[in-house]
This record gives sequence, C-alpha cells and structure tokens, in this order.
Amino acid sequence: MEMNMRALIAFFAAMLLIVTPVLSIAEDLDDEDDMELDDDLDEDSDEEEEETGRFRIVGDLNVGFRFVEQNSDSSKFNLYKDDEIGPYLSRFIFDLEDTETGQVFDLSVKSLGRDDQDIYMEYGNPEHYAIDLRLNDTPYRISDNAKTPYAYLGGGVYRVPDDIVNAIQISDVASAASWTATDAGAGGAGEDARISSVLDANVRDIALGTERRDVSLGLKYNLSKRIKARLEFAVDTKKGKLITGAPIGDRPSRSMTVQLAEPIDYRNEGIKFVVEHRAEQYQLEATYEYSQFENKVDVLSWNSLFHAAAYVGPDGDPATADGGSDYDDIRIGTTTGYATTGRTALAPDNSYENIMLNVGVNLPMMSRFNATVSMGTMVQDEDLLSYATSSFGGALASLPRAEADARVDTKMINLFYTIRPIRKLNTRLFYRYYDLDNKTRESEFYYYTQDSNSEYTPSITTRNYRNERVNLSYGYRHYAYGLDLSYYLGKQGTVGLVAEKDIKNRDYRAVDETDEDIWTLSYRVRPMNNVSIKAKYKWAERSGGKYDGEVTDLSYHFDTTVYADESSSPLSGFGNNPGLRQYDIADRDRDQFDLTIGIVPIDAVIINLAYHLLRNDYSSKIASQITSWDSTRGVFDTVSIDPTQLGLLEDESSRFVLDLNYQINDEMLAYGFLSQEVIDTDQRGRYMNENHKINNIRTARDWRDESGKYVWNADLSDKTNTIGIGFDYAVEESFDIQTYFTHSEGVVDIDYRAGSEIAEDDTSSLLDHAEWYSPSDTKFRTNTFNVVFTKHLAENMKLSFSYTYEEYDAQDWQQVGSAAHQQVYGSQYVANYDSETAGTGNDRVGSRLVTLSDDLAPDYDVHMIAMSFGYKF
Amino acid sequence: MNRRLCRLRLLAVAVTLLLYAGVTQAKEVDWVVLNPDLKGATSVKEITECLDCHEEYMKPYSKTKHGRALPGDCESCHGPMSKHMDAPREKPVLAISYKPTGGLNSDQKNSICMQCHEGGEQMYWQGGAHEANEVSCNSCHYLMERKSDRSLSIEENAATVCMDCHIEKRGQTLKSSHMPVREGKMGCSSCHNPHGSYAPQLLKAATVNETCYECHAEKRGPFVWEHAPVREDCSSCHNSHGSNNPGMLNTKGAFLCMNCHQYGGHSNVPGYNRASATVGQGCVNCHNRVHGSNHPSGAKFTR
Repeated sequence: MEMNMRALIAFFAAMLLIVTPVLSIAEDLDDEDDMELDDDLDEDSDEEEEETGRFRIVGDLNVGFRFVEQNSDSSKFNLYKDDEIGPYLSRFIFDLEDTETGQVFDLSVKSLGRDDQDIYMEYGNPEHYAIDLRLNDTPYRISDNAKTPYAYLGGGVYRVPDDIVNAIQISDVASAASWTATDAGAGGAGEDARISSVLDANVRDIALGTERRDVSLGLKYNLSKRIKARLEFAVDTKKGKLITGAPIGDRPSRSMTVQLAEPIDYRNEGIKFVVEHRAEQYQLEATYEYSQFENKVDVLSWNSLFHAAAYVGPDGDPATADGGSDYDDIRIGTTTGYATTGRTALAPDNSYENIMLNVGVNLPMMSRFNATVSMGTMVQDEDLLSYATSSFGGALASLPRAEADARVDTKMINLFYTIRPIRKLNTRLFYRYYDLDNKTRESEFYYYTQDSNSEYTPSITTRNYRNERVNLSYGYRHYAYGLDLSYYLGKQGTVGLVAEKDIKNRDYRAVDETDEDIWTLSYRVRPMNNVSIKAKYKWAERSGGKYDGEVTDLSYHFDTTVYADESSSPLSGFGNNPGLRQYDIADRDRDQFDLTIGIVPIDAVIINLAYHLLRNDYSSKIASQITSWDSTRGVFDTVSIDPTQLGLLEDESSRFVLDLNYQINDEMLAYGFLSQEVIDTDQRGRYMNENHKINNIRTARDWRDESGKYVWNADLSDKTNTIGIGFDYAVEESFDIQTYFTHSEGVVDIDYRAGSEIAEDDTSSLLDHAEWYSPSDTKFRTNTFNVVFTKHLAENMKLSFSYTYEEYDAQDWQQVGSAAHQQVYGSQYVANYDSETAGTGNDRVGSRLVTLSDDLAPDYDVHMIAMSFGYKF
Repeated sequence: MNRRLCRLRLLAVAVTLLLYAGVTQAKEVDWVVLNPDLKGATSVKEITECLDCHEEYMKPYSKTKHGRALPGDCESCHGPMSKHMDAPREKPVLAISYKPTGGLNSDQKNSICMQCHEGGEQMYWQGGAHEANEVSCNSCHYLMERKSDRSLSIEENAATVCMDCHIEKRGQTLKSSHMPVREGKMGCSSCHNPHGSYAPQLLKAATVNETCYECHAEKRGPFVWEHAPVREDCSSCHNSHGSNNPGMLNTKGAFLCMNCHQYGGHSNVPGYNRASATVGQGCVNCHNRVHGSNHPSGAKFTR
C-alpha cells in the first residue's frame, strides 16, 4: 500500500490555501455594511458587542519579559522548555465567530517564537466542517556541557583528525598489554593521563539534545447529523543529537569504545481517517491510519580514536595489526586486526498501517456492548549494510538478503459487555486478544564481531556456530478475559470482585506460555458524609511451566556433528545460567493493595490520603541437576548444580501520599502535599567463567559451586520524597498572590554483597577483575520556589510579577565514574576500570571508555524574574 | 478449547447483539427520572429569562464552545424550565443541577452529556474505569466558563486535573528523569484516554508499545534483530511516569540488564574490569542498539 506522502502534503497545502479561513472572514468583515466589529471593539462593554454584533470576539493576551540568572550552563533547567532571558508571549487566544454564518476562527498560541512554542488554529463551522492546524515544538536538552574529539562531517560520519590519533597512539608498546596506567607516555605520565591530556587539548563542544516539531492538519466534516468524518495529516520531525556508544572490537574488554553524539534527523508522516456514525442506540467508528517514518541518517560511522592508520572510510582499505604501533594489539600474544572505521545501522525507515472498527451498542437493562477489531502491519525493508567496514584482506561474505524484509502483523479483538441485571449489580465481561505475528524472514547471518579480525571473523568459508546467527522473529499472542462485578450495598458501600485470566504465549522465549490468574477485591464506602474510603486488594499468580534458558541456542548455527569445546557453542555453552529466571516471563506471585481516604473534616478542609503497595515475588524452583555436555568425555552428562535462583528475585514498591487543601476564607487558600515512594528490588547474580562450562565440568566449578563464594546480591532501594506547599491570596478585582514551594529528592542506594571470590579487594579473591562493592548513593534533588503577584488593573487587564528560584543537585557514580575501581584520568573524558594490576592481561584499552563528559547536566541555581501583562477581550 | 471455535462463537454473539440493537429503544434522557419534580415541566427556550437571574454564569458561558454550539439552549443540559420559571426560588430547584446538592449521581449526570457525546472517544465510557468509579463528566470538565485552552478542562494544565485524584502520580512526574508533563508539553491524555478505552490501562493505542510508537516511531522497527522483551513491552525496562534513573529506566545501569542476562563472562557481574560496563550508559555503551538492530552483525545489538 504505497502512498505518496508528498502528494498528500501538497494536497493539504493547496486545500489550506483555497480555504484561507481568516481571509474569508476578513472579507466578510469588509463587505458587511452593517459591520459592527470595530464599533463593538471600541465600546467599553465587550458583552454588549457580543450580544448585538454579528462577529463575536473572545481573546486573551499575555506578554512579558523574563530575566534569568543561572550559575551554571546546565541544560537540565530547560530540559523540555525555553525559559531563556528575553521577551515572551506566554499565551494568546483569539476566537472569532460569525454569528450569522456560524463560521468560527480560533487561535491559541503559547510561547510564540520560542523552542517550546505551541500554536493551534481552527477554522470552520462546527455544525458542518472544521479545519485545524497545530504546530507544537518540544525541546529535549540533554547537555550543553558535552565535548568530543570527533568532528561531525554530516551524513552520520564522525571523524577524529589524524593528528589526534597519532598523538594518542604514539607510545604504544609492541607485544605488550597495550594500555597500562603506568606506561611511560610521552610526557612521563601514565598512559591514561597522557591520553586524557591529548583529549583535553583537542575536544570540541557538541550539544546533546533534540528539537521536536509536531505539525498536524485536520479536516472534520459532518456528512450528516449522525455521520462525521475526520481526516488528519501529521508531520513529526525530530532533529539533534543523542548519546550513543561506539565500540570497535569483538567484545569487551577487547573493544575500544567511545561515546558519540548520534545524529537524529527523523521525520514521521502520518495520515488518519476516521468515519463515525452516531445513532441513539449504537455508534460505529472506522479508522484507517498510516504512518511512515524516515530517518535521514541511516548509518553512523566513525574512525578509531586508537588506530594509527590514516582514516579511510566505510568499506575502505583496512589497517591490520601492526605489532604494537597502535592499540590493535590488545590481546596479549595475539595480533588482532581492527578496522579503522566502525559502522552501525541507525533506526531504519519503516511504515505502519492499521485499520480499526469500533462498535458500541446500547442494549436493554442498562447494558452496552462494545467491540473493537483492528489489524495492523509494521513493515521495514531498509537496505542492509555489509557485515563490516573491513574485509581484512579477504572477502566479506555475502548477505543472505539485501534488504531487511522485516514485517510484523498485529491483530486485536476486544469485546466488552456491561449490564445491570439487577439494579444494584454492575456486571462487566471482557475478552481481549492481541496477536503480534512477526513475519520477518529468518536467515543465517554471519557474525562479524564489530569490525575486528578476531577469531570470530575469519575469512569466512565455513559456516559454524562461532560465526553465524539466525535472526529469530519474536512474536506473541495475548489473551485476557474476565468478569468484573460490583454490588451496591447502600450505605454500607459498594463491594467489587474481578476475576481475570491472562495468557501469553511467546515464540523463542524461555517460557512458551505464561498463565496468570488475577483476582481483585474492592470496597468503597462513605461511612459519613464527609469521609470516603476506597480499598482494593489484588493478588495474582503467574505460572510459566517449564523454563528453558537454552532457547537462545536456536539463534546459532547448530552443527550436531561438531561438539566443539568453546563457550560459543550452543551445545556446550550457556544460553543463560540455569539458575536465572527472566522476570517478565518467570513464575510470579503478585500482591497489590491500594487505599484511598478522603476526609472533609470541616467545609474548608479537604484531606486526601493514598497508599499503594505492590509486591512481586519471582521465586521459582530451580532444578538441582541439569543435563550438560561434557566436552572432555564427549558425552552428555547429568550434573548437580547450585539450585540458587538468579536474576530479579523480588521487588516491592510502595507509595504514600498526603494531600491537604485549606480554604481559609474566600480570599485565602493553603495547600500542601507530601509523598514518599520506595522501590526495593532484590537481585542475585553469580560469577561464572563461561569457559569453565565447557572445559571440564568436574574441575572448574564456579558455575556449580554451592558455597556462595561466586554469588553476589544487590539490594536496590530507590526512594523519592516529595513535598509541596502553596498559598493563594486573592482579593477580588484587586490583586492575587500565588506562591508555592516544591522539593523532590530521589536516592538510589545499592547494597552490593559479594562472595569471597569476587568480594571487594579481598586478598583471598582470585577474580579481581570481577570485584565490585557498594557504590555511593545516587541522588537527585530539586527545590523550586515560585511567587506570582498579579495586580488587576481592570476587569480585563492585569499586570503580573513573578519570581522563581530553583536549585538542582545531582550525584551519580555512573556518570562521574566514582564507584568501585572506576577512575577518571586527568580529564573528565577517559574513564578507566582498575580492578587488576597494571600490565596484566585484562588491563586493556577496552577497559576504558572515552566519554562525552562526566557531568552532562551540572548542578544549577536559577533565579528568574518575569513581568507580564495580560489583557482579555 | 478450540480457539477458532471460540472466536466464531464470540463473533456470533457480537452479531446477534448488533442485530438486537436495531429493535431496542432509543437512549434518551428522561428528565423526570433524573428529577421527579420536573414531571409536567415543559421547554421554554427563552434565554432572556435565564439571563435575568443567571447573568454571572451566562456571560462567561457564551465564550465557551458549548456557548457557541448551544447558544441560549440551557435546557439541553438543565432540562425543561417551565416549572423553574414559575417558581424560581423553589428549593430544591425545579431543574437539573450539577452541584453536589443537586441530587444527581454520577451516572445520571453523565447520561445527560452522553446524549450528544456517546461514541467517539467516549465509546468505552460506560463500564470503563472512570465510570465504574463514579467519576462524572463535570469532575474534570467545566462547561460554564473557559478555564483552559481546550477540552473544557477544569484547570489550565489538564495533567493537574488527573492528579487531583491520582495524587501519587504528582511525585513521580517531579523525578529527575521524566516525560515533559510538568512542563505542560505532554498530558496524561497524550497516552491515556480517560473516557475509556479498548486497551489496558486506558491506553490510547492497543498496547503499551503501540502507544509509545506514536511518538517514538524509530523504535517501531520491526528490526532484523529483535530484543524480545523490548518488542513486547517497553515498560519491562522503562517507567514512563518518572524515574530516578536516566532514560526513565526501572533499575540502574547494568543491574537492569543483569536481571535477564547472566550467561558467563562479562554479563555476570556489574564491573568485570571495564569502565564501559559501569560508566556512562552501562551495558548500552557497547550494546547500543538494545531496541533492535538492523545491522547484519547486530545479533548482540552492538551494531
């Protein structure tokens, strides 16, 4: 179903020009001999004009000037808005109605000319037709503080200049660990410090964030009183840059990773057509929707920051390992070739089409039946890139197909019936079916590991488990049905019971089908006229049957004649640790409790309390024995394992909220709120050397050990406290004072406990590269104080002064690199991980990350003063 | 059970009900049921008499959309006025009142609005979450004065209307990582249809993902290499109401990934001798295409 979207744009643009709504009304204004608008506007009483004139105008204008004093160049303050210094139009409403013809023109404008502007206009005769146009801009500012040594050349190409690469790679030592913190660099400093100083001298600013513009044009047309149609065309563009990682190398710690600013240049065009028939007994609605997404930057490519060879470009001549004159030689004793250029495919162009039929029918006994049926298709057929930027002197394998050939079909049926068989009993029956049928063609793709000439990307002539993967077309089917009853007990309240069944079966997941029974009991009552109570308790039990963590083996080329002793072999390796249970498909017991209390102790006071508790327990029984391939003996064997469950074990979230409103008198209102949200999760993991799985299951027992020395636990506590207080004082027709203060503080605390082999810097630890310990808390705190004084100059005129103070503090070890074994060298742009002794095998370049900044959005204090003038007409 | 047979039965039931609809009575508001005192009242259709006493309401009302569409038609919503005109000071008032003292429950109030607004976005109103919890139209909308730019919302920022009842959501939107709700660039109704929906959680599209794709079409794919839980449910990893983790993630950095990925080597522990696992974006520093990859060697989302 190809559509020429540009032709549609032209059509709508032409239509808009033909209609030219404002001009049309303006002409009427000119032509009318009895035109009274100007006279009416001159009159001191606008209501008089409204009652007697042909044209009725309603408007509201707010303009002002804003002064902003910010102590740091933090993008966080204007994350989604444009509160910069200067004049602003915060609001302009202009509604014009021709009372004779019924034609209207409405205009609503916010923040005109700024990055967060929102403009809406509508023209038409509401009884017959209307044309509406909306333009809505939304900024998303991530950082004004980011820097990179790369230059963006456009078209998704980043290049770091050769002189910077040469400066970085100059001191690399042949046939040794290629990057050690204590290596003597050119300046006698450690290699990390030397390189970071090179970066410091060569980084350039790069803004992170996007600007989104949504433009929509709609046409409503009433074919009759009962039949209405709406056609909407929308164009949504998003431009800017977002953070992405850019690794070159087969896998960490051998890969060389830098952070880059991924160019964003998206355009999504959509058309929606709705026809609706509304009768007194039933309503029908048919909707057709088509959306076409285009990414104008298909590919991101970058040259290596660590490579000596001159930049060549995608698919150009590669460099190979040169024995130490660059950072290619990052596996001791192994010269591994790395391409000069990394390349990845960005979000592909795609389209979506959906047709939906909605029916609602009123039936006897206060009953109603609703049905919705829809079918959709998502299609993506972007040309595929070649496997790698370099063929390393050989020939790249041919792709199994030239295009993505990806397609997902969706089907939905939703049936809903509500009835009151007896006066006090509300009954609802529902059935829902959603099918996501992934029709993407599955093929065997060679697996070139990130533009490197490692053992996993030989000159490919033999198809095997190491170098091939099959793209699995995940899909699922979801069934949900149930009965919802509520019975009115009179003054004793209303009691409810919901019984639901939720079944999902999935393709290529560790659990074929999850089956969940959900029960909900609810009760709401007004024990007194001024007290209302709502309580709900929900419990659910989800079972997934047999758990097969090895299902990902299906994505490997599986040659049963080759039982190789490598961790990549689907036969002898792990799809996942047998103790792991993925939480979205694991067995789960769920309890949820909600309580809401509303109290009006006196007429002037309203108190609302809410409490929410949700607890998920993912406990599963883990088998103590599994069948495993013993590569030494060449047989399958049954072995005992530690039946300790891994992954997310339990999570609990609770929220408590208190809301207060006190209408002190006709002029004064005080209000406040207090909330606390706590999310606790218990997680467990296990260190495991994947090679031990296959070399000899009897001697290397880290994945089977039951002593706990390889096991870690992490209790994550995510707590947010929010407080707000406000006070409004309004003297009618004189002045208003509105003021509020909000405080929000989020703290994420990770309590990490590890067994002796992977514990914090423990001398008994054998696995120092796997050590870690509890990091400092992550904290975010925002305080905002705002006061607005408004003087009413006249009934329709006001002058406002506002002052806002906001402070933001953030501490995040993940950004600044302050957690266990993290070091930031010399500048904020090179982060290292130093759990092992310098010069050892794992102290590789891949243990580093070149970042865009360790402080993307710094703390800030902002003072903002604004003056505005408002006029209603 | 044979699912095909089950579907056929359901279809048969649906068709039967549709046919039955043709012979049922039209749905009209019976004013006397709503207020028995209106028995015998007749329509007046004379706006000037209403103006005499209710000018403070009529003036701002005339500037609203309803004021345009139903100019002077007080009786469409307040019922026949003849008895009220005859005895304007009679208490309780001999008309339909939406005030708490008016004696109407939420169903009764809503039935008046549904005379014109049943269908469309309100297709699933009856039996929907808000209707079932006794929310009435005037809990969120005010017709007599323009208090917001659009939608006749009782407050300028529609999100704050929702938070009057969903008070726990306010704190979430104030978190460091959030959607632009508190900035007014999005509202709750950007994703939810408060009037009822065919989708779970009153979503505007069929699933969580289809809702997210409305704005994030770049995540829609489909991709050559799919990440199964991503294709199924964005909320497996993100909390769209706000989070203390960047990117509105449910859990911090590598810990989120390790909930599901522990097969050996570097995916077992949070550190494993590389900054790229713990600094910046965690695992995503290298596995940067976690939403799906279109690169032929993108099996592990690193390309």
